[in-house]
Amino acid sequence: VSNSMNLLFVGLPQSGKTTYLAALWHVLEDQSSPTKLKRKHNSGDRAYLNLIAEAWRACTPVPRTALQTDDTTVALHLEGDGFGEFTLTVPDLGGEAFEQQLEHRKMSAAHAALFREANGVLLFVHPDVKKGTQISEQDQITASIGGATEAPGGANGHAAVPVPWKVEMLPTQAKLVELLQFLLEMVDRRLRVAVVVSAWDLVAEVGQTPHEYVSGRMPLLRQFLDANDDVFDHAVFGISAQGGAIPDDKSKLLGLDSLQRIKVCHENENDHDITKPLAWLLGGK
Amino acid sequence: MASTSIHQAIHGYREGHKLLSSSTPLGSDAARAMLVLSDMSGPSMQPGFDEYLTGYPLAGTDYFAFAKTWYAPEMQRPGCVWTHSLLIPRTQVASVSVSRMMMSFRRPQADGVDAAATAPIVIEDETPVGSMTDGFGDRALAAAMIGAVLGQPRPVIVIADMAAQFEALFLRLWEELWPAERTRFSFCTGALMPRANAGVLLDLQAVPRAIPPSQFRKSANSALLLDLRAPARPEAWVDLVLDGAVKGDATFRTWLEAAAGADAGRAVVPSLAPIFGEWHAADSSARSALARAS
Repeated sequence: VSNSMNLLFVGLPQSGKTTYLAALWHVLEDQSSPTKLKRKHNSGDRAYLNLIAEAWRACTPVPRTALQTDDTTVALHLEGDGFGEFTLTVPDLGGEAFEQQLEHRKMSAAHAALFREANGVLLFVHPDVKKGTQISEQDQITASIGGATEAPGGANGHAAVPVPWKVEMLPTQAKLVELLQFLLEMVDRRLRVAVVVSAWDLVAEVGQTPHEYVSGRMPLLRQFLDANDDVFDHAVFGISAQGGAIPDDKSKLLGLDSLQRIKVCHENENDHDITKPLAWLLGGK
Repeated sequence: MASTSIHQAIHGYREGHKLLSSSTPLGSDAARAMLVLSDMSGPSMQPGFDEYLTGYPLAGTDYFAFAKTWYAPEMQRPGCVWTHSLLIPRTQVASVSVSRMMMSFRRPQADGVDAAATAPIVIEDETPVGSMTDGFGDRALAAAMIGAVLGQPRPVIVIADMAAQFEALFLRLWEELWPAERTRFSFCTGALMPRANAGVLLDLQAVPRAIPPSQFRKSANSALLLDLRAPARPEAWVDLVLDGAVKGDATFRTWLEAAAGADAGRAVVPSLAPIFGEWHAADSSARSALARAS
């Protein structure tokens, strides 16, 4: 009898969730590279996985996940040394579903059930965090919400005009911390969170480990995870699922063995095993 | 000349699918419902479905949303769309001209989109402009559609080769409904996967033939699946509805709403149509009979 595990991919729009899933499916189907987890046998409807994996193989952007689609939950039957056989369920939720949660502080019953049933979370962060949305760029944030960027006391006599709040004004790491807080409210057991810095090829040359990178660029997120280590175990992975920037690097990438395009960095280890964060979430090291 | 002022909204992709411009604020439930129904109607675009219409009552408001969606291949990622929605007050859904609304849809563009829908649009309440093709022109097709949609209460999924194929037919059927039913009827001419509003499948939607029904058996098992390549011979009551519609005679739908009440669903038609038929044939018109009764 195989076990059942539910993983949740959490991340804002364009943070790399679907690209990761596409590359994962390619690797599991291909079966030729050494990975911690292997596909055991085929499962149900694979139309969606094939669609995104096809785009991934062609080095074209994977389709975004439309809000309308409820049927993008994929079930993967996997096995691995020390894990036995198990079914991994991953709903591919569009990043907008999480932004909705932040904006309206509401979620659908189906979405809430996914949160409650999660055995582990992959939290995706794209390193190309939009300018002005990092806490360190406070002047830009202040300006974007219509506030003064200098000390008050200007004598121009204009009354302040309130600017309506929009979810875009939130810094990315504040959004991610808030999403984790939603999770804390709904899950009453210890949970593993694998932070995935996607498009790792863009920042790998900085020479930091993924953990150092997140600590430096997203200190609030790092501190939140550290401060809640009684409920969250976390690890940070740097993953380039696509292998480079699309469309700029497309011709170069098409020339590579598709399995070699994938780059996975955890602490000081670099390899091509995209199943690594999943294996860690399931209790591996 | 009378006119109707109609609020509007534009949704599109900017670091996620979102509301980009609108002439009226909406509550959070309505905003969420609209966000979902303005997004692409399924996981991937199919040839011939890059423009489609969606109509639905907007829950928690007094509006009926009538929207046109365009695929946006100019965006960086596949799967992005533009949607221009008209928010018709429910009390006016039955009186606003569908052809006028169709003419007011504009495909948005990234430049200046924030200011593109900040004021309501004004639609003249004059006789329809008549540029639309007659949705009931193909009588066999019209009869099959009427039979399926009004003949039973389940949602209907029509297999389509392209979104434009049944557009005029959907719109004509929507126009033919009695006022109360018209404000709650939901439809989509290009559902890349069966769509729902507030957790309930739309009343009528066209799904691409290329999508195998096995892909939506789970999510849409309550629906009636209709393939109009070989329409069946319609039942007698369908002719009655169709004859009235083709003649532009609204007597039946007026009578129906009076007889069945505003809450009655579309599936009352087959049981009430024969009664109307007999009454109507008995040498006195239903209109005069109704007048005597009131």
